[in-house]
Amino acid sequence: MAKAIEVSSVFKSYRSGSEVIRALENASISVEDGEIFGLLGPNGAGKTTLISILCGILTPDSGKAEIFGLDCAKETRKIQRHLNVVSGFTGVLFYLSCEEALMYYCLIHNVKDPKGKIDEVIRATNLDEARKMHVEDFSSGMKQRFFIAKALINDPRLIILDEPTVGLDVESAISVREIIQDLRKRGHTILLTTHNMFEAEELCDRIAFMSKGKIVEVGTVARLKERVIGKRMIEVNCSDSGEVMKSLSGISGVSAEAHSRRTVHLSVDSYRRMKEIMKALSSAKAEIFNVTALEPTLEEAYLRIMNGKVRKRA
Amino acid sequence: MPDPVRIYSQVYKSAMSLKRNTFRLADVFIWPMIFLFTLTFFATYLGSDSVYINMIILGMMGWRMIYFMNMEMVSSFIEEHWAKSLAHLLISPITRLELALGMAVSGLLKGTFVIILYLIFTYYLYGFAVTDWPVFVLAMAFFALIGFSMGLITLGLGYFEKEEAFNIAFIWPDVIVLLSGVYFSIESVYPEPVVSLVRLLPSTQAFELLKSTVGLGHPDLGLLAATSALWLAAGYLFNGYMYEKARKGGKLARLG
Repeated sequence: MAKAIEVSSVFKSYRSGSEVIRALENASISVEDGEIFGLLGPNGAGKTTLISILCGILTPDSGKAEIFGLDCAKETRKIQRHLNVVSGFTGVLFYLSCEEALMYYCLIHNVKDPKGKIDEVIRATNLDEARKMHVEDFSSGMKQRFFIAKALINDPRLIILDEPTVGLDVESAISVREIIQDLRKRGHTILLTTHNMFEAEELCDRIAFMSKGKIVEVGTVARLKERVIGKRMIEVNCSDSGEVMKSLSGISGVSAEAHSRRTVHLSVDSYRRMKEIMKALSSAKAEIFNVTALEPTLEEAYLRIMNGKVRKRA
Repeated sequence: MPDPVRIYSQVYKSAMSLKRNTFRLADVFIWPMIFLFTLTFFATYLGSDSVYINMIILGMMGWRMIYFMNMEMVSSFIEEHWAKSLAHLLISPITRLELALGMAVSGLLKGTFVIILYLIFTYYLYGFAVTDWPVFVLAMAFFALIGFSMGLITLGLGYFEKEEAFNIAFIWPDVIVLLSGVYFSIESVYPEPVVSLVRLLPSTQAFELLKSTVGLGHPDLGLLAATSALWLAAGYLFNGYMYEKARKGGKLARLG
């Protein structure tokens, strides 16, 4: 069975004045049907270029991009029946109400029962009360929900979400993320670009890190985090970090660092040292309030993989 | 085979725009009337013969048909660009031809509406009446076809140049209409070498056909059909070439 997305060795460059910008260099990814796949990278990494090629509005210089086995450059109209796009940077014709705009997109996609479909997508995105309002008057959160409604109009197998929560307040972003979770349950394949690491970690089955037009790393969130785990981190909250540091000083494979007067960070080569650590802590001349194993965040994995550095924990 | 529902999508959009946008409404009512009456009032003031007033009325009708066919195609597209919704339109199964045909149908409806208004107003003001309906309708059909061909070219430029194409859409049909002898006989105004060249324009032949209904034009129907077909083919090929060029250069629509 064909993959939802198969990008093989895609190159794309632009000319800007006398300069040639290499937007994509040998980019390859493969996305399974029903997966939420994240594309993460700084501005200018090539995410939008890759998405534009998948959507058929840009042709690659070389290489191949396929959606459900269809060539994005040659079978554009066919692939555009199977996909739809939500972008945090697009707009809608200013004179159309929510219902009218959805009707317009129903006509473009030749939806068989447009009124029924409009009711369905409005319900799915909680826009019932706003259906007669002009989309231009919507808040950012409502606009984003409108674009998701628009993206569901043609029952696409693949939905491309380009920074869907950019510029949204916390509540709106949560609402959009809930809708995305719901789309996964309905079996849609989702390609998501975001700068929000929490969002990527919460939503994505797999993630690709992009930089300077190249795919730097691909994997599940757990696998990407594994990349940054050289040593395990343990945080000890206590009444006196100096005393705790003294008590731990003799244990091999453990290095302790006072993070504050009441917090000590331990770097250990294995959690098998825990028994010794707990024994040493119980004999320390300080009260121990809490001992926590610290997991690396996706953000740390991102920074390590992209720049080779890990930000110190706050 | 173009899908009628997708073609209709562009007519629906245009109708909604007319309903909500005063500027668009003025485009099919106020300005056409101003264009017509400034000229006919002036001709009346000069004491012109009714034949010349009729020629002005017919010329204005042909011009408006070309204008609406061409302008609707590019303005409908550029409106999506201004609204940043172009990506939603182009990342859909609507084909280049369906898009152009949908916009052209809107232009045709607007052009027909304005011509009906002209017929009504000029009948009451000047007693103007079409003397030869089949020739009149045939000429209008050619004007619509010529406007469509021009629209394909400006829309092609629109894929690549956006606002610049909109500016060009305002300019070049008017230049062609002027060259084609919209209110006058080309032989009485241009020197002979220019006459030979402008006679090759399909719009010149269409105006000649229209003028023939008031006994003033000398149309060459064969030349009209041949040059119109040539323009249509050139417009379609240019439109396709520019679409692919814009798609390759990343100019078609932006997501980010």
